[in-house]
Amino acid sequence: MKRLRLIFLAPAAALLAGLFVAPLAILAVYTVLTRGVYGGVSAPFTVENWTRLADPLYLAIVWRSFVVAGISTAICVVLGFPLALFIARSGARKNLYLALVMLPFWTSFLVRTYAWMFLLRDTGLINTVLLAVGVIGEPLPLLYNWGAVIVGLVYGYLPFLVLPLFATLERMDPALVEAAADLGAGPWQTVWRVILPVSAPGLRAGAILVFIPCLGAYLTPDLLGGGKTILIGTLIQNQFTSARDWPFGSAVALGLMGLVMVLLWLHARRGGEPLL
Amino acid sequence: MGHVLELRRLTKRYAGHAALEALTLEIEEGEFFSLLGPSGCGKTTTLRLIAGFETPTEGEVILRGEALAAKAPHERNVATVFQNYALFPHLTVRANIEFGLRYRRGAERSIEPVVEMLQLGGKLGRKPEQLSGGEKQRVALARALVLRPDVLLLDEPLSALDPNLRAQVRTELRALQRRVGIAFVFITHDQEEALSVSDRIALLRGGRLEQLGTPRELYLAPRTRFAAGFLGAVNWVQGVGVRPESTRLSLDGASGGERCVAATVVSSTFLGNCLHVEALTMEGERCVAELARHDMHYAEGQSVHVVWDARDELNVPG
Repeated sequence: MKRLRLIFLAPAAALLAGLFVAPLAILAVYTVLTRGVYGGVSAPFTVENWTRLADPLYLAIVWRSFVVAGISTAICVVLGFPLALFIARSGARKNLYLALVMLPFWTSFLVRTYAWMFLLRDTGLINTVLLAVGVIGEPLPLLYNWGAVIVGLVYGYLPFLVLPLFATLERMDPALVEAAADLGAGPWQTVWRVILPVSAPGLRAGAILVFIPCLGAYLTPDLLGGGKTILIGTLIQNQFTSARDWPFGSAVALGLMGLVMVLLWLHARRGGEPLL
Repeated sequence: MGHVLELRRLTKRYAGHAALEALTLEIEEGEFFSLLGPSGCGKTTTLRLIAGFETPTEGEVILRGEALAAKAPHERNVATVFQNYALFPHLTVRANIEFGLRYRRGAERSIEPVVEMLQLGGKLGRKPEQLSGGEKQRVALARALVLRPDVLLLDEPLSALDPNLRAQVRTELRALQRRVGIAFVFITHDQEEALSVSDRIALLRGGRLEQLGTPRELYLAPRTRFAAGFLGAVNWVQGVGVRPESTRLSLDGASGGERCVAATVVSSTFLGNCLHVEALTMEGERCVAELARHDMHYAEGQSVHVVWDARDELNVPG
């Protein structure tokens, strides 16, 4: 029995060890080496890559990433809470609405991000229509700015907030809402004093699931921000490509991972539900 | 005393099927009123219509002379004790009890009298998950009663309790109702519960009012076979109904004023406080006699007479 279990676990364990643990270990070693002249790493060992993280230039990028991820998460919460509540209370059509929320996942994230570029650029759908109608005289600067990045992040990660929140709201005893009304609370007061606090664990789980990928996002800021918006993800990518500083790139990547783990630990400590 | 709540031809239909059909009732001030019936009889629908969680298809709910049709649940001065209590899990007992105070005019400003009455003094800081079933029920009662509602609605409030706790809690519930003087509308499918606590009982069946009366009237003078059978066990012998406790067995036949029919003993069951002896008449009618423990032993297959006093017959017209 015990042997059988080992046999079944072995493939997954080997896969994880080979493709996750080993690269991570390599990355960890890179962080204490010196950059090679044409990329790669060389001797000697150094802690300089870690101390460089404290440079105000990089701290500003980390701070900016937190602000952008925070704003995106906040918008996701404001949009996602009513949506999740609506789906949880829509009876038989629930599965249809959930399928619609998941629908974007059926196409590549890259393709969808390009679609946003077609919508937002100067000759894109929005500007073309507004120009044709005569509402504006010249194209609005919709693309290649922070607004476009945040729109892209909210669009991309909203489902990660809606799904866990929906699960919590659906589990909530519907009698609680009736009890609140029965005790005299109006609809808004019921949302504020009962539904929101009771679903807080799901909301927190969803917010973390949005915040973490937003924090490390690379594709969206790169395409919709037009390279003018440097976030942690862009910084890491630059170190491995144009800057050819693999050790520093590794340090930034591991540092980000450390931050994320601290966030997850804080969530778990508050008795939060498992995230997936 | 006048009536506090009136239902006028209250009807609720879902997609062609009638959950409740033209129910008309008047509930008196300070009355303990029970809605009794099997599942699907419309009792829960009635409660939800009174509370405002459902909108009637036809008919009216009138509270203290005012039609409630246009009022949302939070605007109605009724309060509900839910079947599973529906306590707010994120709030302490105190916050649960205080929940409605900021919304309802006429509510008691202090929760102390209610807390004391329901003996919740030591539990105010606890969360609902730390309470026993009986304590949860008392919190649900306190949360509703502190608002001084015109009518308190109770949706099978004893069904979530331990069976051996129920009899005690229902006595307490009855005493509480007498003390606060608020009309209670009590939903139950348990006839013993309804008989023991109610001033009056409305028996519902298939969305219609089957019979309305005091516990005595319903038990002793049921107007239909359904009512007779729902309120307690009945033997149907020679076209009349007799309750098992009014039925006895005899080897000799009837004496003055009694009626009797020949039968054969089928089985005898010892229930601790009494014996249930089942006999089959020549016409094939089964009847159960509830006998005292010290009554003689009846063997299976023994020929006996089923005997009852004519005064104990249930006069069921239908």
